Amino acid sequence: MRPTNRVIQVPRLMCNNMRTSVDGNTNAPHRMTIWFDIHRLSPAAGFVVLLLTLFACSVAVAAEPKRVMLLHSFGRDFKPWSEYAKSIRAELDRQSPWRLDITDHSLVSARSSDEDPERPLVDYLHALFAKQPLDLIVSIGAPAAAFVQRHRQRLFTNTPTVFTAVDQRRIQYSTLTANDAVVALWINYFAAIENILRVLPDTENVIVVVGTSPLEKFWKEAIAKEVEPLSKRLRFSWTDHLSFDELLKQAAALPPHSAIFWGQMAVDAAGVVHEGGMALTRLHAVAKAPIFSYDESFFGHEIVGGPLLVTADTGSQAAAVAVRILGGEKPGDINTPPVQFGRPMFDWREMQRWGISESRLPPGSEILFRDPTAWERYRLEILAICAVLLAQIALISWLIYENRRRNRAEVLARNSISELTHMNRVATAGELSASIAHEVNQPLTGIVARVSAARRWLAAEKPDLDKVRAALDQIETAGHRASDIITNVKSMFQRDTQDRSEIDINKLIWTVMDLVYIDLRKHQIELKTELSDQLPPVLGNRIQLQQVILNLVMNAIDAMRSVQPRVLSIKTALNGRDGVHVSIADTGIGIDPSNVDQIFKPLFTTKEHGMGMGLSICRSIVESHNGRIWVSAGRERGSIFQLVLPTNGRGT
Amino acid sequence: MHSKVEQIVYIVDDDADVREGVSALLQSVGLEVVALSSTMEFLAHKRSEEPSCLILDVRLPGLSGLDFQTELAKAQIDIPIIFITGHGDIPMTVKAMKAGAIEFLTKPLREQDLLDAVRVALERDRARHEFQKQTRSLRSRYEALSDRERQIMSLVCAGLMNKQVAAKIGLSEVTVKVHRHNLMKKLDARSFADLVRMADALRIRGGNDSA
Repeated sequence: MRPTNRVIQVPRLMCNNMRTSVDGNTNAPHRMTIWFDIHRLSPAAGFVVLLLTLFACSVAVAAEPKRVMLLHSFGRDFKPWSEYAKSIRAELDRQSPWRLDITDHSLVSARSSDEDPERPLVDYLHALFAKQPLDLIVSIGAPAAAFVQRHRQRLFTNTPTVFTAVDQRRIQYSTLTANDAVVALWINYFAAIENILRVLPDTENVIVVVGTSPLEKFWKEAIAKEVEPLSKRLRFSWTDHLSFDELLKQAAALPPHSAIFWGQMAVDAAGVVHEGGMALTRLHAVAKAPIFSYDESFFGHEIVGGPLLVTADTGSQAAAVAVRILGGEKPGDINTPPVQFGRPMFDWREMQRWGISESRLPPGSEILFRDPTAWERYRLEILAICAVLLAQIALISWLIYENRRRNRAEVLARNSISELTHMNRVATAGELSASIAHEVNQPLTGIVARVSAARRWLAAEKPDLDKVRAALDQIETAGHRASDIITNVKSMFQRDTQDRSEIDINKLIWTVMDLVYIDLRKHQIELKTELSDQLPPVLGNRIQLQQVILNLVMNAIDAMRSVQPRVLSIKTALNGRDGVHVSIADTGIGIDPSNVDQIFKPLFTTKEHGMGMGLSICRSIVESHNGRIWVSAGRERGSIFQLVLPTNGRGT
Repeated sequence: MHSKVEQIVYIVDDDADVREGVSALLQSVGLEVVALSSTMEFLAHKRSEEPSCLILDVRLPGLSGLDFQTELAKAQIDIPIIFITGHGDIPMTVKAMKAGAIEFLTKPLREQDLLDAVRVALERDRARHEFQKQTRSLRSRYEALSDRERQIMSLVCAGLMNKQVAAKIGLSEVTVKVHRHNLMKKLDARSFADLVRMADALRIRGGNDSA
């Protein structure tokens, strides 16, 4: 039969230990913890529990557990003592080489000044432990210590006792017996209040929260006395005359530069007992001022922090003393110095809330509950986003770079194409003229040579008229031949110009603009178009008319090279009933009035590299379409080339 | 021009107008002209010994005039050339002139330029002919000398005195003098200097030539 089956609550860790030992694998001492709270159980249930406990204990006796009682002051859930109790319990478990049988009991008497409630408890405990004496009592808190000291003679005459979780000022050192050991606290209220001034130097009011229980009353006096030197800088007020609800109201309406010091709130002025951490939490929820305190058990949500008593320090020291006593040492010989404030601790969230900078904290402070920074919290996400952004930036940069490169290449290609075209045109023209010259020079050479010959024959003493006549005949033939050559060349060029079709002039203009848009962009020329959508089609040669428009536009661009602003305006309109009017205006250098008459003549040019063919060709093309072309000066600057083309192709 | 001196002007041009017109002009100043339409015809034509020149068109079907000039030089056909062209450029002109052309004329031709060029060309060719003719007659006279006379000529032209020549070939000095007199007469050399010049023209070197 396993004892665990009879135990009301056994921590899981214990079960494991026991199972291990039952299997015989280890000699480690069995530990078992049994507790119950008699205040919470109905009498019947309490009786059953008691029976079961006793039964369990009788089973445990076989392993001779050490019997320890934790005596609480207000109840198991009153901070800070509850935390001390937990810590001591854990440390005992950790440090004790023996199996321990720990029971918890609480005073209720501490909540009021009436001592009568103590009597039944004394009787109860007396009955409980009369036959099975305790090995050790650990009293937690001042009321428990006082209770033990008060009833030592009747209750625990020879039971060693460790007084702990109690300020040294609450121990009656004079009545300590040889069975008593003390692990006291030293709450330095002065340092605690001074800390408020340190981190919030503007503080003027300090509300010290204390209740009305005897202990709390004692502490009100003690704290007031201790912080007296600070009363020049701070105005202290006390809450022992307030119900907790009134206290909350007051806290909610605190003026600026106030701070709350959480001393104790076990019982308020209305007699309400405040168990657990709820009171502090409620205060924190409404308080318009930062809350400070002295003990680590209040730290973790509500208080700002500062120098605090560290629960684990007391827990481990008390447990160590307890283990020494259980091991046979005389309690009276054990002297431990009081546990003082540990390293200052601050709650980062409260610091943020009240605007306390880290630089104000005392040196060596520890900041807890620091919100993870965005970086810590979302590192992966941030990295991923950065990576995506970088990738995007890289991609965009690359695309921009590619685009630039393409544009540049396009411009270069356009330039070289237009250069090539020009060179080709020049080369072709040169080649053509050479060829024409050669062809025409042949008959001319014959003619000139025969003329010379004829002159000589005529000048002879006996002029040879037959030969002269033959020469003249040949000259005539050669002349015709020269003329034929020129006619042939002309007709060769006209071969492509005979195709006529119906042409939408607007569309033709846009085709040309497509060809020159790079030039327009390169020279930063603004294009304005006013193209009538009422135009009838023109019967003409598409290539030739494109050539005309292209020529006029290129001339306009050339004319605007050195001037500002650069605006190219192209308009089309209906001209009369059956004609189309096109005007191409630029804001360029314009045309010298003395040149206006010559500008359409072949081989006339004002351009450095011009051939003087463009406008003459334009005119011959327009005229071959039975149209007219002319030029006039622009309204303000530049020039306007205008042309009219008949829509029926037969002239207007 | 001197019509008694027979001379011929060749003209090669693929264009009939040019060919015939230029022919007419040259004929009007009394020149004999052979008009040909291609370089092939020119090569096929049996040319006479008279001084002549060639009027050559640059642009010809097939081989160009300039290339033909090079071909003629390779074949050692020595005839002065006047180029004519519809459109000549400087590199073309330089190339032609360096290769020995008389003139480079552009069409239509100026009468005087052409006639001047033809005159210069014919004159040069005539001089060349004259030189060749003299060399040929001297060589035939030299062929007529006896072996002994040729031997004595080479030694004398090498600078030896009659006495030395006599000693070298084992004759009396008087005999040497007789031979020397005869050979000068045969060669129609009027002086000793004349004789040495003839030896040079015939490329006779004294001393080594000991038969």
